[in-house]
Amino acid sequence: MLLVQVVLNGLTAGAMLALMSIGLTLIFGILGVVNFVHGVIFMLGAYITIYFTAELGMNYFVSIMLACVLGAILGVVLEAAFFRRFRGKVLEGAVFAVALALSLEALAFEIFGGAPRGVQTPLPGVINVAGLIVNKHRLLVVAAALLLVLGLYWFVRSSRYGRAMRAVQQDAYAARLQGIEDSRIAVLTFAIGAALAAVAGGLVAPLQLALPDMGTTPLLLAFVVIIVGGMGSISGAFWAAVLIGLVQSAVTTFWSPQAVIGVTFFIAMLMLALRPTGIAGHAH
Amino acid sequence: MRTEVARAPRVRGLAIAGAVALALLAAPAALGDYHLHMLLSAFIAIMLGFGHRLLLLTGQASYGHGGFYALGAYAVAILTATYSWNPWLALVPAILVPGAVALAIGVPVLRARGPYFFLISFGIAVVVNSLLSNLKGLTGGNAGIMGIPRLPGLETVTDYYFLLCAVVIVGGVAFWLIDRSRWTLELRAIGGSPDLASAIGISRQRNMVLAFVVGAAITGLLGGIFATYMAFVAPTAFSFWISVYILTFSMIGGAAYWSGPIVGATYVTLIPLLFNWSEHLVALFVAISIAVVMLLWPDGIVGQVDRLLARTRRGHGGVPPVRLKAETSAAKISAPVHKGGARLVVSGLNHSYGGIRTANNISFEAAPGEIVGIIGPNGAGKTTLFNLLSGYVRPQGGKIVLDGTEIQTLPPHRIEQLGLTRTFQASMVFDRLTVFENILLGVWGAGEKATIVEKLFRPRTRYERDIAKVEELIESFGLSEFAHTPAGSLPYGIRKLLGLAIGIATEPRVLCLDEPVAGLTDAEIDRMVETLRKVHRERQLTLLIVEHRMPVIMGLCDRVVVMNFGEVVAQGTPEQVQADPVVHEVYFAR
Repeated sequence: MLLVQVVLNGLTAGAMLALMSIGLTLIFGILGVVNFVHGVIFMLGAYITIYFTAELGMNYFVSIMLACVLGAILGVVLEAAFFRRFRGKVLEGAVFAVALALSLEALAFEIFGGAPRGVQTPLPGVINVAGLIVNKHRLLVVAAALLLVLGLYWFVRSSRYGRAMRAVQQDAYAARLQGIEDSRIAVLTFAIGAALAAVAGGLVAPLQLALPDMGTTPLLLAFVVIIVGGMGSISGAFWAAVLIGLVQSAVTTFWSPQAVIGVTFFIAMLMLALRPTGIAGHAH
Repeated sequence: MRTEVARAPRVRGLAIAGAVALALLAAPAALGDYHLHMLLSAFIAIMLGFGHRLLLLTGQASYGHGGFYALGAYAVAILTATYSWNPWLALVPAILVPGAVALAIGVPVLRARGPYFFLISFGIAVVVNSLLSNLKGLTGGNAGIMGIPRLPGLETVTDYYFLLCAVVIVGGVAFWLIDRSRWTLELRAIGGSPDLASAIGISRQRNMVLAFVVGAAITGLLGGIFATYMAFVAPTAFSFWISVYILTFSMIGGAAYWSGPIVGATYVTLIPLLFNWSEHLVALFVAISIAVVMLLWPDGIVGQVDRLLARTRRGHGGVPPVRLKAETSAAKISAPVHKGGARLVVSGLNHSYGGIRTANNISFEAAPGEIVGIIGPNGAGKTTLFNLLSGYVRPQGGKIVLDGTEIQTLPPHRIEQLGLTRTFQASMVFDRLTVFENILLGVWGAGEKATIVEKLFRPRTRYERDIAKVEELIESFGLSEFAHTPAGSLPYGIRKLLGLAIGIATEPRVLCLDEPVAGLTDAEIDRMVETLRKVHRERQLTLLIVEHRMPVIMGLCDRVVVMNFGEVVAQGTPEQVQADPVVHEVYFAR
């Protein structure tokens, strides 16, 4: 019974992680940017949702939509103002991203303060089936995450812009020769990734207290996910997110929540030693 | 052209170093404990910066050095406070433990290219911090370990100031020597072009792991000293910010320069202490500094100053325009170590990417001193064949035998050491190194292995014999006027020639040239062909040439191998091949 509960918790954690990681893996795969700012966008998504719901009294779902739109706009600004300059310079771009993320986080501490914030879920209560307890809001998170991931998968597979994104991922130069405007694709990719991260933040806002550094742990786990999944692969990131979610749940239950990051990074190192291209396994 | 160091700058440099050393020694007389503590923190930071910079030269950054710093500090804390070791003795494990961890992580992770190492190194800091909080029995959990004794003989802040002063002076001199050594040039070569580096015999993996381990060991030592100085360690003192700070030292100062970590560490450490800022403000200050430097001055503060100085020295404008010299001089190319060419026998070579067969049962032979041309339409598998021969791609079947030695399972740098060198179409030269340095690396690729001390500490200017060879090669390739120009700013044709010179400098017995004349003008082609003929005449080496220009192939080669769809479809003398109907079909009938 405990085991079933652990698996259930793991799947809900995995769904949230998938939302974070897929944006991260897309941005890396297509643009070669290791986007450390992703965790900050997640945090801002939570704060925006809390602000519109708790302060302005708006509907929770409308607030999440707003967080999504604002997140996308932030992504566009970041790409156009900064990351564009680091095309082809992975290391410099990564170091810049670390610095930017840390500045934004420090700034958030100055603006929002260190006091935790929270928001009520529109779906309070739990479902209790034969002793298995599932928080209703968690089910909402899983449903929303699955919907978004499937939608994105369809978009990248089948739509015109999605095909253009994959073309840029495989060979930016050849894509340009085909008339694909890769700067537009870059902006689109960043917008999508940031929107997903902001939505993820908004979705978990009712489940935990919001603090300016709340994005750090999901960001770290997302890095593990994209390493295990193979950097740049959407389906790899999805399955790896489920796996890491399960590991997170098991370690939290049987050991200690603080050990999660340590254990998952150890798994990532093992993965690199044994199969450097990740689950999905195409070399980059 | 000579390479001796001018006298005047050296004397001035020594005078400045002496003055700085005197000022540092006199400082305790003038300053109180608070200011000495500031300087001492800067010394630690400078050493951490030096340790971190080594790997940075190869183009990989570690985001985990805060973890090594913590490991060193906790090693000392646990051994002295819990097990009552002598603190001096405890510094030994403070060096060894981080070094061993770096070795265990570096060997698997540095093999992967791209940002994997950076991300995983981030994990080192995170995992170590999580262990510090969670292994309560050993580390005291979040409460940490108190009562760490000071190093015997050192009591006051002034004592520690002198210790760290000595450490930073000794360390500074050691890293100054390393900066002028063969090793630094090899690390920079790996950072510039990993493929070309291994093609001239530099082991990417071994050098990077060594740089990582040395850096981690130094970081651990400083962590250990720091623990005895503070008398107390706790996880909060080793947050991931430490890793960020260590990373910023060389990046802000300028990773390419020896003085980079000094400038960066001093800037990052002293300014917040001078203003006595709060923790969040310091974080903001450091993060904004690094972001601005990365955006505006990617070569760091020292790099920017260097550029400004160079500009004022030259007056206005960038790199001076280069003139092309008409022809290769007639000077004789120096006598090779390996006399003559080797026999290369390829039999039954197979390889496929996914479902596509890029090499299908390829067999051919090149006799010693023979010039063999390899032709075929685009996609015929010519470059894959070169990748297989030189160890960049491992064959899935078949044998490659170089003078009786099977080489099909060896890595590129080992194959080079056995006498087979290749050139590349794209990354022909190390763009950020000068012509002289490019060829010097090639010459080292020919020699015997250096001992590690020699490699790390013997100045590059003291390899008189190798330098003489470099000068001969520069002369005979007609590159004299560009000797101290960065290769990246040279015209395409000259870089192509330099690529060949690097290959020749490794004194190969088999040289594989990947499209040596592609993209050259007719005059440049004539010059290249003439150079190839001369080189071949003087050294009698075996040449394998992939090329699309038929007149070049037909004029130069003794024998031609024709490939199509990963298979050898014909081979013979140029005349035989030209008459072969199969070849006509491959080239014209489609």
